[in-house]
This record gives sequence, C-alpha cells and structure tokens, in this order.
Amino acid sequence: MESKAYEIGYLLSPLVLEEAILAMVDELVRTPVEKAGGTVTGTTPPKRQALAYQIGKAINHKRTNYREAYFGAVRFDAAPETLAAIKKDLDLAENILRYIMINLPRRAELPAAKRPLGARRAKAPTADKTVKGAKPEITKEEIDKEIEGLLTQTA
Amino acid sequence: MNSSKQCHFCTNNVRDIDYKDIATLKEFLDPHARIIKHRKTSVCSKHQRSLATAIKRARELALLPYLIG
Repeated sequence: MESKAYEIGYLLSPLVLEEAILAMVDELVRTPVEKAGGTVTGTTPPKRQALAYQIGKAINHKRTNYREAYFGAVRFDAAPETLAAIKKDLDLAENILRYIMINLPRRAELPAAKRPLGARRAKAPTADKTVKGAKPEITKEEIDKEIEGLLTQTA
Repeated sequence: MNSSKQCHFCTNNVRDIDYKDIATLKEFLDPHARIIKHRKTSVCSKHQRSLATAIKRARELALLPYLIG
C-alpha cells in the first residue's frame, strides 16, 4: 500500500483544561492515526480561539453550543485504505467538536519552487571559467606523482 | 488588493493556499463574508480556485463565517 499525505484540522471542546489539551490531542488524534498504521509528520499546536459561528455538539444526548474552541492540525502519511478507520475513531471522540481531513499536495513530487518575481538570479563568479580550465593540468601531474608514491610504498 | 494588477499569490510565490491562514483569506472576503470575484482582486484562475477551496475549508471549521449580516 502506498501512503499519501493528509492533514486533520480539528476543533476541541473548550471545556478541556489548558494543561490537559496536548495529552488530549495525543489521545484523540495521534493514536487513531498511528493505530491505523500512519506516521505523524507534523502538528500545529492547538490554540484557543473564538469561532466565527456557534457550533453545537451533543454529548450523552445533551446538546451544547460552543462559541470558542481549541483549533489545531495534525499532518500525517497513511495509506488511503486506512482513512475510514481513522474517521471512525474521530467521529466517536466526544471532545472533538468538528474536524476535516484533507489531501496534502506532496512537496517532494512537485517541481522546484520558482524564484519570486523581481528577485534577481545570483550572479555566478566570472573567475570560474579560467579556474576550471587551469585546474585539470595541475591535477594530472599531481595524480601521477601520487600514484608513483603509492606504488613505491606498496612495493 | 485592488491596486495590484498581478495575482497576489503568484507575486508572493505561494503554491498552496492554506485554510489555516485566516488573515490572508479574510482579505478576499467582502463585508458580507462572500468570496470576492477575481475580476476585482486580480487573482489568477488557478489561485482563485484553490483560494475558494481554502475559504470553504476554513468556513467548515468555523474559522471564517459563512455570512455576516
């Protein structure tokens, strides 16, 4: 199975204590990913912030509306077949108000970045050409001498 | 945004527009939180598509509003 890059962006309940939040992320997001055979490649630490609109979430058949939440993200590599299992775990987690799972473009496969518009290309030193022409002549003699030296040493 | 005639993301060498970068995304929303047409912002077609996706992802996570007023 070939793995692909994904990212989970999540909102955690604001009722979780600030100290417990990192352990909560490990438990609710990181473990499902690793249990499904994925490897976590990076995280955006959760940060408490006001939401643009109220989000409701029912816990034990009791619906509560939240105006703020901890927002964070986890990047990971996993096989596409394992995503369903990860989603199932995330759906069951009560403290995750909402999450999205997205495809990440693979950086390594993309062509090298263009230089920004207006940026000047670094000038190659002009002395390079003469040095290149001069170097091999010296090195040949040196190599010959070295080989002779080695031969005499071994003989 | 309107002053420039070139795509904001092309000039800044942005390849992928991140849904977490709310400050940038907000600049492409009008006062009602609607996505501004690229005709007004001069964003190229390629980046306008990924910008729209990023804004919609941010809305889903309540990082940006669906509408104001």
